[in-house]
Amino acid sequence: MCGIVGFVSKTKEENILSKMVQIQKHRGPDDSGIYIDETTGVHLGHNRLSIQDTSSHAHQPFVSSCENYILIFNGEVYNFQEIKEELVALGHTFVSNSDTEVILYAYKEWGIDSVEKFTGMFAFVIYDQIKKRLFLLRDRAGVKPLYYHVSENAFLFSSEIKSFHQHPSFSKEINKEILPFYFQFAYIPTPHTIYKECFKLKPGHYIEYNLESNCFETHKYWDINDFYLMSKHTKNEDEIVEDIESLLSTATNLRMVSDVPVGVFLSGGYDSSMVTSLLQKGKKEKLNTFTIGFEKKEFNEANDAKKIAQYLGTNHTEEYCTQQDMLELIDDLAFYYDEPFADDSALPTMLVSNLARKEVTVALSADGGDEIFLGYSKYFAINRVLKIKSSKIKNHILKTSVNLLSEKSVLLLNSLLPKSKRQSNIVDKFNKFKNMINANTQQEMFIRASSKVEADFLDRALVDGKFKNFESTYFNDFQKLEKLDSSSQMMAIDYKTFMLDDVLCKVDRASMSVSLEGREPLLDHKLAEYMARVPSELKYKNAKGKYLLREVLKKYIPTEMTDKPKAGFTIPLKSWLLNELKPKALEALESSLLKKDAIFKEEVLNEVVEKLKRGEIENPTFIWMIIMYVSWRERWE
Amino acid sequence: MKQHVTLFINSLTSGGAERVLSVIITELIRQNIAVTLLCIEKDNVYTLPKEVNIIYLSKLTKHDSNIKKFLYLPYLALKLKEHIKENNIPLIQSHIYRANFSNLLAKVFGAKHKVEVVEVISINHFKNKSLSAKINLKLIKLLYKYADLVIFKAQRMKEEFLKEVPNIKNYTVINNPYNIERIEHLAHETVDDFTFNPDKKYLINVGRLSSQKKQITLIETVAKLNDNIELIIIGEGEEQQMLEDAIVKYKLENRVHLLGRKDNPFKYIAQADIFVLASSGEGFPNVIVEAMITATPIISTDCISGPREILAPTTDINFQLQKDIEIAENGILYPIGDNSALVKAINTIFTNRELEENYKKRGPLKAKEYSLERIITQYKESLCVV
Repeated sequence: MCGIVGFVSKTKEENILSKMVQIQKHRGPDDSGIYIDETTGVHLGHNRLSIQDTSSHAHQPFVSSCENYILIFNGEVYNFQEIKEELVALGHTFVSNSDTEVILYAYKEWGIDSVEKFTGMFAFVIYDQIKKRLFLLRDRAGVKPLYYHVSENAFLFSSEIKSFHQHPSFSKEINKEILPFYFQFAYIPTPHTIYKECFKLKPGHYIEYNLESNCFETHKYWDINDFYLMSKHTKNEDEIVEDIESLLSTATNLRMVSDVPVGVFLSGGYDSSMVTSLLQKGKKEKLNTFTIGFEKKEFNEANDAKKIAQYLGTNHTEEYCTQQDMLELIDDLAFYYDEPFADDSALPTMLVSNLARKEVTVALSADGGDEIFLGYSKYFAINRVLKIKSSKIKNHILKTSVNLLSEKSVLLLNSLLPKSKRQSNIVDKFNKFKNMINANTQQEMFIRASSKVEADFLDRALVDGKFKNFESTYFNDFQKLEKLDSSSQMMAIDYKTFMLDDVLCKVDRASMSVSLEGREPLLDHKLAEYMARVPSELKYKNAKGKYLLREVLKKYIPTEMTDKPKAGFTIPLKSWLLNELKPKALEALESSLLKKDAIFKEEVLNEVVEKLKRGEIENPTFIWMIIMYVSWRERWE
Repeated sequence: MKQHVTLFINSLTSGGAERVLSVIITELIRQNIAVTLLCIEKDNVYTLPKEVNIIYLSKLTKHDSNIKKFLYLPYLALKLKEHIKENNIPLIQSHIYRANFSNLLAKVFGAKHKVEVVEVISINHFKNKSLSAKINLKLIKLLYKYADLVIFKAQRMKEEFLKEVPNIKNYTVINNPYNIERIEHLAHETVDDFTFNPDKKYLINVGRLSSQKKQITLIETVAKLNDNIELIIIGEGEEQQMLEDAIVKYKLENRVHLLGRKDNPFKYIAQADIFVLASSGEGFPNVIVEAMITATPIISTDCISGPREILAPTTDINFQLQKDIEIAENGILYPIGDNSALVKAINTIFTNRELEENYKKRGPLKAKEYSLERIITQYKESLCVV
């Protein structure tokens, strides 16, 4: 795991390249290197975190023995040994025991199509001096990041945007069109970034840059949609459960390949328990597992994780974090994330990474389970509403009654319920439900259920209405997937939006901030391809999601230990905003930068400020988005 | 340091698809994307920005016979395959039938590019008995399954297509783009060759004078309406003489005005009271959206495809009106050829001030969905550029 960076420009700019490498040193503190070809203007730089072959043989930029091919690479190709054997049989010789060298010779042998052989997470750039081409490639799911920036005089690329700030061609013009999306969903969707001329390379794609014409084209080599659109498996449930167990086991074991110690993030939910079980079962050596807890009881899941760790017999480390620990990290977020990014679970993820880094260099993180095994509750809610909507009478009755209810009456009804049944955040939940009932299409329902801030509020609050309601463009795959059942559509879309730009971005930046390599066993492409072809009816059963995963898990851990509602690492944001974070929130809401950017109408911001002063918060995430936006602006101004 | 895309079309002769492509190309160039345009033959009506790299794949001309053009397809496909290999082109998006067939055939012959084809005509068009229609339909059924993406211009066009050709892999709908600011600007120009009488009401229709556009039914309808309601028809075409005869027959010389082709029809539409589309079939009727931009209320036949999804977007796309009128969200629909329903629709608007004002307000709002900036984002997405 490492950081890659580089550019094509007309002149030699060694100093700039060095600065670009230096600023993302946290991604790879063990070694660094640069390569420049003055004739074509290709500049390549690399920061290395040594995982496979920690010797200097695997130094990057890696140059082939014939000196015609040069590679910079971030990530892991887990099955490199098997590809290496193939290449050795074809007559290639190797100087190192690293995946780096295997990637380059695979390219030399098979061309860019060699990516089809790679299992893993990767972003790499290959410079082919014979073809006069640069290839920039990103893995199938998008675990590893790769950004690029287009301008008249230079073409820049990097694992993190912060490097671009060191280059004189970088344009800091803010992409105003994307801001409404950020303030609705808390992240910025691929291929866009907060900067107008800067982009995220799409997962499963590569760029072919022609150094003679200085034009480039983007090629797609993998798309989860293709697998959802294939015919479904006809095997029975038992056979499918068996297949999944074997795929999961292969995927997790492959990710233990390392020359340095490996651990697992264990939150106590199905996904991380599954990964831990598969790795610990039948092994004498104790696996390192890590979790963090909160002092606030309703947010603390550390005890569940501990019980599972004890049951499985892992070497478990837990740490209770205080508000102070997190508050100290807030200012770092803008630096590590480069863009406004408002998923607040970035904070605990940074803390758990920090905790793990004290013991290990690699940690497995079980992300993607919800998108692959059908886990999010919004999927079930939408499916229920769709069912109601298919009956005209039921739809009419529900619609009328929901629209008749006021927020106050909902509050009243809720207060009449016995304490154990009472819902927190009832008004918010009710409004979400109401919006869903009133939505015309499934796409609209999905967008509303995925929004962190209601579109109606943004309509009222945003100054420039030109680009509001643009969100449907980013969820356009609904059209291409309309032949599929609703669950498949939603999972496929989340895989390429929320999972990519929120979850994976969060984990990569958090783990890299402490030079820890995060690995994602549930995102193994063979598992994803297989699951896409499993009928949705098998994924949701007995009124519960992730049915198949739970069926596998129960072979390892008693059901009663894992069958508890889980939220992952969540933080008590609202209570913070009302207490320790209040000054920071007010400062952000009233900041002159925010006023200068004229994104929100002042009267709407004033309203939020007044309420906050009185101790009322309608939407904590919205305030968090503002804090993140303002601190990003201040950091990168 | 630019992104590059390759597009493909028969030629740049006059026509709806060609015009749309020229708008898309111009916008891509403006956004600093390099464009190569492959053409089968040279016949340029639309001018493109000079930055476009145009490559002609054959020496065919528009005067060559259809048979010759069809026989040329395998040759074109091989030539295209060569071009793809030489330049390692990842994706070619083609925009009209012969270009689509050549694009697909190149893939069948072993080219490794991604094929995207844009459908511009409703499949129902090929259900008649003519030989060329039969060949087209056969080729569609034979080749379209190899397309990586089929782009339709309208929802209903897609639905009809899938009924005939169910085995296509991947498809999406991208409506035509409209340069809203330009149309608004043109709509404000003054009309100096026709006098709008403030005491009269004007219906307007714009389109080729043809049996498909059914302007004849409009003339028949005007004969049944009050004297103060007049009709303007803009366009030229094969039915000109027939329409002129009908005007004489119904003694409507003073009430029906055939103005011929106009470079700027928008200034007339903007001054008219109702835009009426009488067509028996459409792909995606540009003129409805254009009339909406000028805030003119719309009455349209519920023909396939387009009017329903624009005027009544929340209704069932597969429904087709058989009798009476439908007062929809963004305009009124009536059954094809039903003149008495049309009379009712016209009177409904003229007697209901609130409805008329509502349509004037909703039109420009709805039209925003088809703005160039929105549609170009969708095209860029399909072309794999950012």
